[in-house]
Amino acid sequence: MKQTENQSDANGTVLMNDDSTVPMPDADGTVLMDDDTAAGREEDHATALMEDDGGTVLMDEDVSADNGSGTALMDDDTSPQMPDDANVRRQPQTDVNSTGRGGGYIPDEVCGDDLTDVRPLNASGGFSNLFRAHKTGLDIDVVIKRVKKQYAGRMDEQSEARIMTALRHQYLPRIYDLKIADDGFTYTVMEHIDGPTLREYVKKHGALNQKLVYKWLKQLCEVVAYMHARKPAIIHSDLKPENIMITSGDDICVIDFNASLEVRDDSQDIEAIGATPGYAAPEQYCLPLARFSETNPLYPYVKAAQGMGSITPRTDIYAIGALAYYMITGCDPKPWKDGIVPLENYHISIGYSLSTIIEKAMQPKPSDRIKSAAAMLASLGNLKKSDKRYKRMVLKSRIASVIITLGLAASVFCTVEGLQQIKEEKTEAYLVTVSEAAALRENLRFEEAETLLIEALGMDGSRIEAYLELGSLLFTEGRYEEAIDLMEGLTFQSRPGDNAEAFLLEHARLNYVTGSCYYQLEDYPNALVSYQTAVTMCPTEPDFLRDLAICYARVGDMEAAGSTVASLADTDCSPLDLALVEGEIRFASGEYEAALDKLMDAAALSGDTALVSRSYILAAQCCQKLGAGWIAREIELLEEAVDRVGMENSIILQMLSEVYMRQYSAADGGDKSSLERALACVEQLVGRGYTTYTILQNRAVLLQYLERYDEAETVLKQLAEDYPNNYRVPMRLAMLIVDREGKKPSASRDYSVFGVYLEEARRLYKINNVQDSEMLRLEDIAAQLSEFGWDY
Amino acid sequence: MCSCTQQINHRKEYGLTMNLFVIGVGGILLFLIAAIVNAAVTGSRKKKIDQMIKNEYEE
Repeated sequence: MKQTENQSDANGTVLMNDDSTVPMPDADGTVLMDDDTAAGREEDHATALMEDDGGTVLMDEDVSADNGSGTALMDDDTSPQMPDDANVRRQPQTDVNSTGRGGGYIPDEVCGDDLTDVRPLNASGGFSNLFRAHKTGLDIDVVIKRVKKQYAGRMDEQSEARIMTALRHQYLPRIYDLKIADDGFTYTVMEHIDGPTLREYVKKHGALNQKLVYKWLKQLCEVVAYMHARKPAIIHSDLKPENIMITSGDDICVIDFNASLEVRDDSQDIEAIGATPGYAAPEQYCLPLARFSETNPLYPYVKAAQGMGSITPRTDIYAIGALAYYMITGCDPKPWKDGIVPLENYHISIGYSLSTIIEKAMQPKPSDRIKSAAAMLASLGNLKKSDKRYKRMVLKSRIASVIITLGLAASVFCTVEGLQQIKEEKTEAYLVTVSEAAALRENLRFEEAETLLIEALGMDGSRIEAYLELGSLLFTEGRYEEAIDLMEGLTFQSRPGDNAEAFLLEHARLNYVTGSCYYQLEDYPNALVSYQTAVTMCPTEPDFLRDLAICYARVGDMEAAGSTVASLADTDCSPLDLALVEGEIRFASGEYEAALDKLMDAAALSGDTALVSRSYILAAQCCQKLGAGWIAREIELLEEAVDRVGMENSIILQMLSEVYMRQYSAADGGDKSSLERALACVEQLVGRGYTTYTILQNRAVLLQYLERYDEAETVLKQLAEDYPNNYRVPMRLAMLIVDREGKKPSASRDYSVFGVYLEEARRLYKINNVQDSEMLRLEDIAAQLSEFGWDY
Repeated sequence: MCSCTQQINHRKEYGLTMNLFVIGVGGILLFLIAAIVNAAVTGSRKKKIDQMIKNEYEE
């Protein structure tokens, strides 16, 4: 057997050197790794690598020296076979005074006065000899550690002490002293852990239960995380059952930092000092292949580990996983290359989460492993995350959440869509109602139209259409004041989706209708304001410009009227519009005959019923202004108008009835046929639903003139009910009584009812506080009756 | 089409729309309740599993 073998120390660690023949596990199984080692102990090494209970291989050149604890160093020179602990005990160092306080094992200069009762320990620290002593100052037992002679100079002997001195953790031994003796050895005085190693514990108790594994695994992660968090990070690189002590408090204590490495951020290609088969991560074998001969048992491992990278904190993660594997199974894990027996192959009780973590920690590729001890500790602290039941529960909850979210979204969509549709249908119903009302208005069914429009306003009071239509209806009915009250000052906001142009046009029409109402009431200044507003909104609408021009003429602003007519001419207005405007302007200027000609031109040009009516009405007004001599012409025009537009225009009918009455009044002796025609017109109006006060009053007056007193009285009594506060109704009734009784013989006359109506008329007249010549005439009649001795 | 027929038709349309709206509001209530129940059940199960895991791994 060649002396340059890889030699396993007492813990089984093998030092890795080149030129070594065989990596021999020491007592702990650690192997020092050398290449070029001579053959001769292959079989032993194979056993050490694969089957021993944790031999570390020290990785040196030339030799793999078994250090008696299973650890082997691989150096570049030969390493003598070093004595194991028994050897240490049998053969104390020659340079130590056997009779001193060191008991022949430790130099006195190391022991001083404080260390007594020095004796070798049965256990051996990998590459070191261990001695137990009593520290008298603290009255405690301590361990004195010294690197074995065969490793002296082949490794940084002060490294462990330096590293451990920098560490303070409950799961690490305390360092009390560090001394370099004259013999060249470094002695480390550290805390004595009174307890078995993990291997001893497992051997004694068998595979550990899950709870204990979980506890120690967490402690292990905690201490390793602490070491990795140092600056520089400390990598133990030789974690194995022999290097884990179980304290009397049932906690772990990590020992043996001989193979530890300090890794700085800028460190590159760090090589392992040693490796324990089964516990060493593949990258610990990742060394230059040239250092190893093909006959070296390490060669296949080193070859298989090529490309695995260098030592990193994840190297310790692999060892932690392997330790957990050992604890839970009671068996050492096989080296990664030989295929690790899966945990499920063992008849053990282990949770899925824990087994997953262990398997993840033992991944051969560093990048596949748990990234850090801290992360592993976090995973252990949150086992439920990888627990199947928890995952199933989370999955179910997420599925439920997704369904609920989708359901909620669909419900919200239905609600919004439903609301939107309700709104649209409401709008549609509103618009249909308005258009129905418009159709009814066209058919002169004003009452029904009004009812529908009020209903439409109840549906949506914020839209313009119903207001516009109702205003137009009131205008058509001649209820100008009511129309103005309704529309004056109304403003509307455009809605999303509305046609802006159409909305503006409707708003302008509202002002236009309001202006037309003012115009009909001969309130030209207000009409002008409304027309101006309408034209501002729609400056190219011919109707608006035409009526604005007319209104300017009415207020005497001929210049503005002229410029508006010019604007009107620029639009696509009809010649009719221009003729009508000119007629109006002439009318406003008092040129009635010229106005009449223009208006007749306009009437002749137009086919539009409304404009024809308007032309004729204004033409009739021109005749009226021209005096009594034009009554025949006026009647002719209005009758012509009726022929052209039918009996639909109430104003024409009303004017016609009035002109017939004027004709009756103007004719000497009275022409009852005029009254008959006037009454026919009024009856026509009433039949069409025009039952305004004026029309009904005219009806009553005409009936009275035609001596149809009872009918006249009925009409007036109806008016008295409809207008109880109007003094004109009892006034007319009183006049009717006088007229009727006057036709009777004196003996049968009865004016008693006259007195009742007179008093009522006086009372209401007083309240109304106005001046009325007809009322004065009634008073004259009453005075005459009294004068002639009639009682009433 | 006479006014009455149109009104009847409107009422029918309102009915359908109201159904959609009612379904939507009902759905919102239903799924809100479901969300609350789901949260409660999940919380309860989570606690239970936490306890089970604790019993399995911790002394």
